This record gives sequence, C-alpha cells and structure tokens, in this order.
Amino acid sequence: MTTHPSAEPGRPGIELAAHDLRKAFEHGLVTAVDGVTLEVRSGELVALVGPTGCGKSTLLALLGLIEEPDAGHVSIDGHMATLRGAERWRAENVGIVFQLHHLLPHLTVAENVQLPLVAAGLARTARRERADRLLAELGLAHRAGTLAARLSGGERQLAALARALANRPRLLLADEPTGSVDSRTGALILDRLLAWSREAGATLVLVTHDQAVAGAMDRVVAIKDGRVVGPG
Amino acid sequence: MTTTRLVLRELTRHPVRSAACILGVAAGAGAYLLLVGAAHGFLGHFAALTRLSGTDVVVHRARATSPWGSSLTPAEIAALAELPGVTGVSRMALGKTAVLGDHYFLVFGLDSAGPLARALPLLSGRLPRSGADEAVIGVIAAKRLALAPAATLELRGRRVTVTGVYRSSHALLDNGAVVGVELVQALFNLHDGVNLALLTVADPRSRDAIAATVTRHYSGLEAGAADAWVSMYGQMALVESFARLIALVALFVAMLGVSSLLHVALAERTGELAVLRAIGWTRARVARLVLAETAVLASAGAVAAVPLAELVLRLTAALQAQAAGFLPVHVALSLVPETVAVTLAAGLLGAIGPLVRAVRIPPARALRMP
Repeated sequence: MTTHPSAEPGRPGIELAAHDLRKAFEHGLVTAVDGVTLEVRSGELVALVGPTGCGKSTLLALLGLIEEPDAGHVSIDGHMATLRGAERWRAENVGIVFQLHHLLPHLTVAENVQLPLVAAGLARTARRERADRLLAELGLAHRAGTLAARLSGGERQLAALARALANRPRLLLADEPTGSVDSRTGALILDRLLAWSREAGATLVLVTHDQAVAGAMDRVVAIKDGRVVGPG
Repeated sequence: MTTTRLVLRELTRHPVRSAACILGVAAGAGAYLLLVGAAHGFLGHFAALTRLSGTDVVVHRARATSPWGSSLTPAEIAALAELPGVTGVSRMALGKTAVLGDHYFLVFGLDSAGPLARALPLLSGRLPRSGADEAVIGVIAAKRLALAPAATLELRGRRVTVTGVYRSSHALLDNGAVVGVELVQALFNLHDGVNLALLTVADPRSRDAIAATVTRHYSGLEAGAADAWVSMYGQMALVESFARLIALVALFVAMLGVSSLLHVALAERTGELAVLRAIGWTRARVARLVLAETAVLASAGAVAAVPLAELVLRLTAALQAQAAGFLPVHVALSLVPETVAVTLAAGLLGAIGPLVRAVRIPPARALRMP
C-alpha cells in the first residue's frame, strides 16, 4: 500500500453509530433499511456487503446524514445527529465516492475537485493548491485543465476520488467505488482509499460486491433485506 | 472557482438553449422598452415642439386631457399677453384628419409671425400667408405623400396649396403640415379658439413663476414650463400607465417562457445538483447558483433588448412612415436602467418555481443515480 502525502494528522476519524435505523420508500411499501444497529469505531475500515437491493447504499446515505431515517438515529462521535446543518458537516468532514463518478462534465477536473472546498468555504488559492496536489498524487496533474466529459472512465473515477479526498475527510463513504472501472484502476482506487484512511486515521465505510475489496477492510458487515445478518 | 464561473460554464454548456433564453428575455424587455418608450416618445415629441420654438411657458385649458381637448379664447390670449414679464404670445391650433389613406395626419395651425413658425427650417418654398389656404409640409409627410411645393393637398374637403417643405427633425412635426391658425380654426370648427398659447418671457429664470401665476390667477387655465407642460395631461399619463402595464404583461409572458426553459434545464441537472448537495453544498448555495444563472440570463436579455428595440423602431419607421410621429426616434437610453431592473425582477420572479424545485432535490438522489 502506498502512503498518502496529503494525509493530515490530528483529525481523528469519525466514530459512527446507527441505532435501530429504519427507512422505507414508495410510501412505506419498500423497506430499504429495517432496524439496523451498527457501530463503527474511529479509523475503522468497514465493508457493507450483500445482494443488490438489500439496502447497503441507503444505509450508507443514512450514516452520512444524506438521507433522513424514518425511525432510529445516527450518532456522530457519541452525539445524536440530525440532518439540520448536515451539509456543512459533510463539507468539512465527509468524502463521498459514488459508484459512478458523477463529475460535472462541463467543469474541468480541477474545478470538480474544488467543489467540496467551495462548500467548505476555503479561499480560492488554497482550493487550487489542494486540488493540484491531489491530482498530482493520483497521476492526473496533466488532466487538471481538461473538461471532465473528456476523461476516460478510469480517469473520471480517479478524479471523483480526488474530489472525495479534497476536504481531507474524517469519514469516507464509498458506494462500490471500483464497480465501474477496470481491475487496474479499481486496484489503484482501493489502494488510495486505504492509504488515506490508514495515514489520516479516517473512518471508511464502503459498499461492495467484490470479496477482494471487502477482504481488505478491518470488518465486513453483511446486509440482507435491510438488516444486518452478520459478518460476510 | 467562483459561482460566477460556474454559472458561465453552465450557460455556455448549452449555447442554443441559453441563446433562446436570452432572446426570449430580450423580446420581453424590448417590448417594455418600445411600449414605454412610445408613450414617452409621444409626449417627448410635443415637448420638443415647444423647445424648437424657444417657448418658455405653455398655457392650456385646465383639466384638459390632451392638447386637442384644450381650448383658449381670444380674450384669454390677450390677457396672457398683458402679464408682466411676458414678451410674446403665439397661438397653436391643432387638428388631425385623414389624408391620402393616412388616418392620423396632424395639422398644426401657427401664427405665421410666431416663434415656432419662424423657427421652422424650410428645405424649399416659403411659409403660408396668414388667412390663405396654404400649407407647408413636413419632410416625412412630403416624402410619404409625394408632395412638393405647388402641389395641392385636400384637408377635410378643402384644397390647400403646398408652399414649402420643412425639416424640423421632430418626427411629429415632420410627419404633418403647418398652416395658419385661421385655417385650422375653419377646418376643425374651433371658431376663434386655439388649443395652446406659447409664451416667451423676458427672463427665462422666471418661467416657473409666470406659469404658477397663470395657474393661480386664471381659474380656467393651467400653465407649465416648456419642458414640463405635456406631463400635465391626464390622458397622456393614462396612455403611459397603460403602455407600462401592457409592457409588464409582455415581459412577464416572456419570463414565463424563460422559466419553462429553466425548469427543463434543472430537470436535466437534477443528478448534478443532488451530487453538489451530497458533497456539502447547502440549499442556500444551490439557490444562489440558480438565481445567479437567472440574473445573468435576464441581464443579458435586457442588454440585448436595446439593439433589438432599436432595430424594430427603424424597421417600423421604414415600413410605416406615419408611425414615426408616434414612436420615439431612438430607444430612450434613459429607460434602459428601468428596463434592466424590471427585467431582473421579472426574471427572479420567474425563477421562483425552478428555484424551489432545485433546493428540494434530495442529496440522497446522488447515491441512487444510475
């Protein structure tokens, strides 16, 4: 595993806890998360595994305060959390890697990386410096000024990873981050995610179908029909 | 990267759509400029008439709704000439009639020795003689009606000889004819009355005081300084208010179109906005982004409206010469700040729907996107 030069000590990973979380869609007809109770220690690397549609991504959204639970609650560093002010909290503490890159195609790679930093209120120079450094570390410095729409699939996911790491997150949420890229890029992305988490002490919660990816985590949580059914 | 840059990138991403938006706004804002400008222009033409003659004070019948609705008697004209500080009084009688298919041909009856008649720059011929069935004709009307000195013009069944052609550079005047006061009185059954009295005063600084004296001492009369008297007409104010209202409706209809385009644009960007919300953008920041986009579109449209309105004015004047007297010669630049402000306000109102939609996009949608 490579080290991560952007890692910043002194900001411990977030400690997460889910307390009897429930979430349903379609007016309650489709239950996505059904009474999940889960604790994730600061700096712990956790994989959520399970079949498609079992509620892994919804649980990830609930843990990141992106989705409001129907019942139950999430604790952040021992404090009960709500969605009020959650954007600011995410901007300063959370990095998200989506299954697909979800870059804004009409912005350059560097501009995409800076988006969370805009939300976090960083000055322009600081944003630019941080984006440039991250892109250099991920081997994308030469693509910094390229529109995201013109990148290859692998490059896009690497740029998305840079965006997730831009705010030096204490919590990384990744939804099948290697699911849409070739094995070499997938390995690189996983390597960087692990490097960041180990070096910075960030907590990582990752959804995956890939047993090899899950095997690289500290702990694997298996989900089925919206419930935790034990280690995978 | 600033919000401005983000906005510009978004707008240049779909250049055709952005151009359509700007054109829609420009059409609405142009209609506003033209309609309000036309109302202003009509009043402006009348005001320019008095400025042309060097008139200091204009007197008309109190509570008249337009210059045509005003009537002054010879006794009142004589009394005005006796006012201290007044050095001259000339009469103006007005009429409008149909001439050779033009249903709104203006006939100005002036004292041949008065300052306005004397100020008329003749291109050819001479001024009409007092009491004769003679007329000088404005250059626009002469061109439109193919009239030259010695030609005959029929006004309300009376044959009038054209004695000259003038160019005052005031569209209203250049689009009609000037005759003696007595001819207008006879043609339009004014008897011995006239519509307006144009006063010149010894000291121009006393214009307002003399106007106030007239209004105060003659209960049936009202007076105003030469650059302000037209605003006293209720009918003119009504026309202007109506034009403003119609213009606002046109502007809001245009902004509804823009609002629909914004809705479509936001529907396409739902996923991107969800991602922004997921990575920490607040509702307020997303709202600012949408509002900034709308503001840029509205401002660009308002600015584009100026050349567009100017083009419409020129085309209208070229294709419909008699309209020239009622339309402003150029877009009133003094109206541009008002138009930009009203367009921005309309744009922001039109953006409310898309804005509400944008800030309601749940960030979790980013995780459910294919």
